[in-house]
Formats: sequence, C-alpha cells, structure tokens
Amino acid sequence: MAILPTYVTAFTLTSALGVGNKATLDSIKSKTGGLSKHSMGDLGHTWFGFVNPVSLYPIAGELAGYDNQCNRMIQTALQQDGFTNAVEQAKSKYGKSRVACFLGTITGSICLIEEDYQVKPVAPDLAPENNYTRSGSLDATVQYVRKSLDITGPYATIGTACSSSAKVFATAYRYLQMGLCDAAIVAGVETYSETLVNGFRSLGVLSTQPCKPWDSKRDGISIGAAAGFALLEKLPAETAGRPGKMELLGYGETTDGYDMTAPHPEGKGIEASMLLALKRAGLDAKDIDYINAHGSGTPMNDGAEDAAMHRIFGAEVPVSSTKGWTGHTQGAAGITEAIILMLGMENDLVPGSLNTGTVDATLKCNIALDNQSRPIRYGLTNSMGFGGNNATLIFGRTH
Amino acid sequence: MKPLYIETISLYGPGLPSWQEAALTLLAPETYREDMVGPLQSTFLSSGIKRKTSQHMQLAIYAADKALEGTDTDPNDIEFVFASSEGDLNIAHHICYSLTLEGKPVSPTKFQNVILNAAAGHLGILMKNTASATTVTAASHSLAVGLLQSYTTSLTESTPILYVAYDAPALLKIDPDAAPIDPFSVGFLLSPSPSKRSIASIRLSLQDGTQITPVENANLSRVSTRSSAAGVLPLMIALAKQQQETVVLPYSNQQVLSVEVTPC
Repeated sequence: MAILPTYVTAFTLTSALGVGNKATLDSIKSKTGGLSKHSMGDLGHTWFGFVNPVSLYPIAGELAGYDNQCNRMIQTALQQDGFTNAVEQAKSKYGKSRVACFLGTITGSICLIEEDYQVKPVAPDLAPENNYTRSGSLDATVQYVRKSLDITGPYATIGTACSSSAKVFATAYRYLQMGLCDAAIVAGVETYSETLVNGFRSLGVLSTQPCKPWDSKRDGISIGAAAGFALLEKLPAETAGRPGKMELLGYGETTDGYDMTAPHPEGKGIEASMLLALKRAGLDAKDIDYINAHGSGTPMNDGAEDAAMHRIFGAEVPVSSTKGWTGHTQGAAGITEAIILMLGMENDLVPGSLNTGTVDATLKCNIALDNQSRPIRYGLTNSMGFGGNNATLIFGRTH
Repeated sequence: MKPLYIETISLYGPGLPSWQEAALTLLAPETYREDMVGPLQSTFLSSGIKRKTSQHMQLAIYAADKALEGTDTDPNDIEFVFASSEGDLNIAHHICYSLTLEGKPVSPTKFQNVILNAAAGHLGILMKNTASATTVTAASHSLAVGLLQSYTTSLTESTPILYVAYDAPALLKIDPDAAPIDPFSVGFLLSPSPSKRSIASIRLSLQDGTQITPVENANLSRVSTRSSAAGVLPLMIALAKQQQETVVLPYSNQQVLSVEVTPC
C-alpha cells in the first residue's frame, strides 16, 4: 500500500487561553496564562483552566435540544479559524460519508450526569433515571460533532486517558491510508467535571498553585477544559514537503505495562513511543527543533519523561510544557498541545513553560522557561495517560 | 480490502460459557439454555486481581486470557484494541454518588478504574505488555467500531491485535428504557498474515444502510440485542459454521460493517 503524506489542512483550539488560534497565540505572546483560582469550598482550592462561558455560543436551531456547556464549547470551537468551512470543502470534495471523525475524551459530558446526582434522589443502590444517550454518554460527544458538521463517515471515541486525543491522529492516519475515508476530523474535548477534580484530589496530585512543570517546587497538576479540532487529509505524494504545509510525519503509541497511575520510573514507555514516532517520520533526534512535553507537573511524571527525552535528545533541544498556560486538559491534552505546537511552528515560537521558576536540578532537559523566537521545522509532542498509555506525534513544516 | 486472519476466539455470555461450548450451541440453537452460566475463571483473574477490578473489567480480562491461551505469538508483540459500549457505569455511579456526600470522598481506586481503558491497563500490567493499547467506545455500535479499529491497526501496522469487546450490567443506565445488559465478552487474536492456526479470514468494508444480519433463533436473538458486545453473535454463528458467509453488523445510524468470513 502506497503511503501518502497526511496533511493537517485546518485546526483550531478553544481553551483557557481563549477562543480560537489567534486568542491562543496572543495569550502566549503576551504571557497571559489561562489558569484561575478555583475554590472547592471546605476542601480547599486548586487552579483550573476554565473556558470563559460567556465566550461560548448557545446552541440554537435544529440542534437546540443538545444545548449544554460541553456542546457549547464544541460548537464555538468549530466556528473558529475557518474550521467548519474547511470541513464543508472536504464534504464537497469527497462526500459526507468520506469524512471521518475520531474524538478523544475521558469524561465526555459526565458533568450532566453529575448534576442529576445533585438534584435527584440517589443512594449507594439508587441511580438517577434519565436518558443520557444524547448527552452524558461517552459516545454523545462525537455524535454531536458528527451531527453538527453533518458528516457520516467512520468514527470512534477513543478513551485512553490523557493520551486520547493524541492517539486520534494515529487512528485517522490509519483510516486514511486504508482508504476508508478521504478526510478525517480529529478532536479532543474535555469540560469541567467534579469527577476529574475530586478524583485527582483523592490521588493527592491536584496542585494548590498554578502547575509548575519541571520546577523544583512542582507539586501536581492544574486541570483545564478545552476543545481542539484538526482536519487531516491524505494528499498526492508529490505534495510532500510543499512549503507552508503542515504534515503529520510520525506517531508512536506504546504502553508501560507497569502501573495504572504512575509512569515507568525511567520513562521506558514514553521513550519507546518517541523512538517509534521518529522512525515513522524518518527523522533523527537531532532533526527535532522543539518538544512540547506532556509535562503534567507531578514530580513522578516530569521525572520519567525528562529521563526518556534526555536519553534520546540530550540537553540541546528546547523543551517546554504548556500545561502552565492551559492546565492539563485531560482527554483533550494531546490535541491541545499538538495545536500549540503547530501554532509555534507557523509563528517561529517556542512557548515557554509558564509558572516554572527554578528548574529541578535533578532533571536534565533544556527547559525553555520563557518564550523563544526560533524556527521550528520539525516538532514533537508527548502524551502520557493512566493505564501507562503513551503517544507521541511529530509534525513537519517546510518553510 | 485485504484479509485479516482470526487466530483464536474466546466468548463468554449467558448460556455461552466458552467458545468451545458456544460453537456447538450456535450450530444447534435449540439446545441453548440461558441459565448455563460459567464462572469467570482464568489464569489472569487471580483473587488479587479480582479484588482490584470490577465485573466489567474482569469480563474483558477473561476474554483476553482465553483468546491468548496456547498462542505462540510473543505477548509483547500483541497490540490491544478494546471496545465497550461505555466505561464501567457501576464505578461512575459510585463516584457520582460520592460527590453528593460531605467531603466528596472519591475513592482513588475507583477513580483510576473509571477510565475507559482501565481493563486494557490492568491486562497490560499483568502481561507486562508494552505495545500500543487503544480503547474505543461507540454506544450500541461499539463492537463494529472496535472491529474496524482492529482491522485498520493490524493491517497498517502489520501487527497482531488482541481485540476484546465487553459489556456488563450496571446500576447507572445510559438508557433506562433499553433492554437490560447481560455480562458478555468476546475476544479475537487477529493477525495480518495467515498461519497454520488461522481459523478464518475476514475482510471488512463500510456500506450505507442499516440492514444487519439477523439471528434467527429467538433466544439467541434476544441475547444478541442485550449488549453491544453480544451483537457479535451473527459473526460467531458464521465462524461456528465454518463456511464462507458475509455478515453485516450495525456500525452507525447511517452505515453498516460488512464482514466477509472465509474459513481457512
């Protein structure tokens, strides 16, 4: 089977940094992070990357019955950066049954189920009775995207914890190469949920300060909400390397086989993932100009990832974690960081690790503390999730 | 489309306690007895792992274990694709209920197991497997969506795939009006190339429409509609018959998945 280049022909991000790519880029350039202090009442506080609800469009018309906070974020995101127009063009070119959609999330719209538990009679053996098919089930989010864009091609919701919306790129690549679709929308969506906040609190990894990846005083994560979308198309081989085009060059997918929540201490799983991505891309470690790390801000995660990156890339390549800007957007983290990477590639910008002051002396990578202006031809981003699930993406852009 | 080869099969469901027994029952459906329920016992399901996992996860681990029995494929070379119509809704219920209590005492163990890939994660740790693992969901269409995910992954990556589809009953229901869910799991070890162990080849394609292959026996038909995973029964009947046949499975509200089965 001929391997054809897979291009990212449109992308858009809505997160705590703002609605759309321009707002995201402006926030990074002006060093305005998106985290805000979030009170948990008697349980203390954390910092969260909220998407400003005022900025979200209510859902009207035929889909009004789907109006909720999660779908508002999706609907608003889809209307930025010409994304919906790009999908319309793909539908005209290929047909709506030839446009796929693969979406990564952890909780989908579970916040709607949580709300029912707060207002309806519940007990250890009594759950609220409601139909969550349309909103609440894990499948509901991808179905809303398909309905909203009027596409009927292949689809799936991928749930591999925090690597979910990195792995959607690999899945889309495979469907495109197999000829099961001609264009694929990849997405990551995560909204605020009490399950995530209190789950991470129970694990003792929810920071009470804005997260500080790689910092000597890092003590955990700040969670964030986001909706990111990218359109992938398989184009003729002669277009490979064409100036200005953003190409998905490689991906790696591995697991640690080690622990449900802790990474392999030496980062063996994420190391293997990066090596697979480099091999697929046909690149050497020295070709990579910038790494957007998973960099969750927990002592264990950053330590494992740092060790893995240092073994492959040494201490030359600039590395940053952008979770200090957006928060850890969970099932949307993969695509959030892929889009920030691609924005950096388009704008010759290595975003700094916001909130990181003094880098942990035991870590060895070259952490970009401040924004750097430099060309990025090839960029790599990592994602690591519960279940020891790892994914790496490599994008290339010819200037 | 290229063929993908089925190397091993496992099955667990009401009246279908193993693939070996189910294959006989599917050929003589009048012998079906729903009350014949087997124990969820396998090498991986030690008392220790049973304490850490729920029925939802145990169904997946059981199907995986049975599908891997006797295989000579290096366990570390096998990628996982798991599919379930939802995460573990008993755990989701427990967490959502905990959130109504003072102090919101979410159990850390419940939280790590509420993720969709919990079963695949536990299995990977048990096997010390470091290959890719992907868990997908698509509500009542999860079986076919997962099968197509397995097909595309195996053929593009030239890798064996352990595909497991599983569902379990839960207190919290996505659709309270839907038929009750039976505990059900099915596992396939799939290979991009044939071997002397190959049972059958499958070729998959998506087609517009909603017409699917029915299960003729009323009892088995009822079972096949009581979870997404149990929707595999038309395919299992074709495999039991060991004859060339095309089975059509539900894929979405607009499309079906055509599975061309050819015995090896």
